[in-house]
Amino acid sequence: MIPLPKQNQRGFSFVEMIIVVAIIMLVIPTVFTLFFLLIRTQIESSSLSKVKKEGDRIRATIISTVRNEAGAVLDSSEPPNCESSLGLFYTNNVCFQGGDLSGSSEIFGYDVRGSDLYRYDEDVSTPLMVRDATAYFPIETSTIDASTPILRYISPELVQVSYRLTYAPQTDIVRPQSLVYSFFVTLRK
Amino acid sequence: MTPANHARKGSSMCGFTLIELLIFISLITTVLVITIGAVSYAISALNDSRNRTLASHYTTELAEWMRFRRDVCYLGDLTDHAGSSLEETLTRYYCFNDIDIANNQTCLDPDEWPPEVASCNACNYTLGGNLQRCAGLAESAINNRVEVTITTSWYSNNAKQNVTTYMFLSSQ
Repeated sequence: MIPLPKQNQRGFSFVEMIIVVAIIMLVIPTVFTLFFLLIRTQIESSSLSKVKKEGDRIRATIISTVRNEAGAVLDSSEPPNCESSLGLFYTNNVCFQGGDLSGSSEIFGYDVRGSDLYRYDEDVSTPLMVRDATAYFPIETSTIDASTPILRYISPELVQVSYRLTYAPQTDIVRPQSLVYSFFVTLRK
Repeated sequence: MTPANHARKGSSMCGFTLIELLIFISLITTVLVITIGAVSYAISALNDSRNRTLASHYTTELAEWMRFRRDVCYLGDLTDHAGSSLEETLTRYYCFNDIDIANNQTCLDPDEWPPEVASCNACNYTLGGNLQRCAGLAESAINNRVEVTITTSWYSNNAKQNVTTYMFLSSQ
């Protein structure tokens, strides 16, 4: 074997290594924390935007539907009430009477026990409940949790509508974002 | 970066030269500063966007409540709480940070209105964590109208930001 020429090899000293590792350990967590914060803030912000966008759309739809289709706000504590004579469907005390207030009237309202919202037509003596896709408020979405709207009777032509929308991102690092909507609708008819 | 194992002539020591180290450190520092600055700016912009969304929602909510007071409690409810040229204060201010607007509509309880404050600066930033909602009411001499100014504010990068809505409410 040919012996290798003797070299004066020299690496990093222990102190140098410690300093370098310490600097890296300071910098890397800072950078990762910042990126984590960025991701979390981005998810929060976009979730809230989704809720706001969806909530505004629902609000516009409800206002348009109620204002243009309802003729009166009914409080079920006084006749004519919202309760079907079949005893099957109860509303949260408030519903709307249709535009034609004379003779056979049409009522549309809610069934608060379930997640669906119902429209039902009343033929005075024999109420008939129908599901009408064009009548119920499209408050259910695939990604956003929506509470059933709560109606509050204020006067025969004025009702308060309240609901809460919540969006829970698919991650635990961000709290669910929610907004409460509360507004008043004055009937046009 | 140039490896450190090129031995210099006439020397048994090897390593980086001072220039190499300076360039390396400069590059690393520049990259780090730019990255951290960009990320910080992005976080600040996102927070600002979130606050603006919330402020817009809260402002609309209070505007809706004011319209309700006009419709149900009649304009007198607003004029009672508005400043006018006949009084010392042209505009009267109210903080709407803590009031539960959704369940506050009987027109009977005087406590439904929050206490009057000297100006919007007197309001705390407690709405939704870091926002402030304030309304200023002034009675207008034209057609018995009330001018309502709703401002929801927050601080972003030490600068005050706000969303403001102006409304003229008159009796229907």
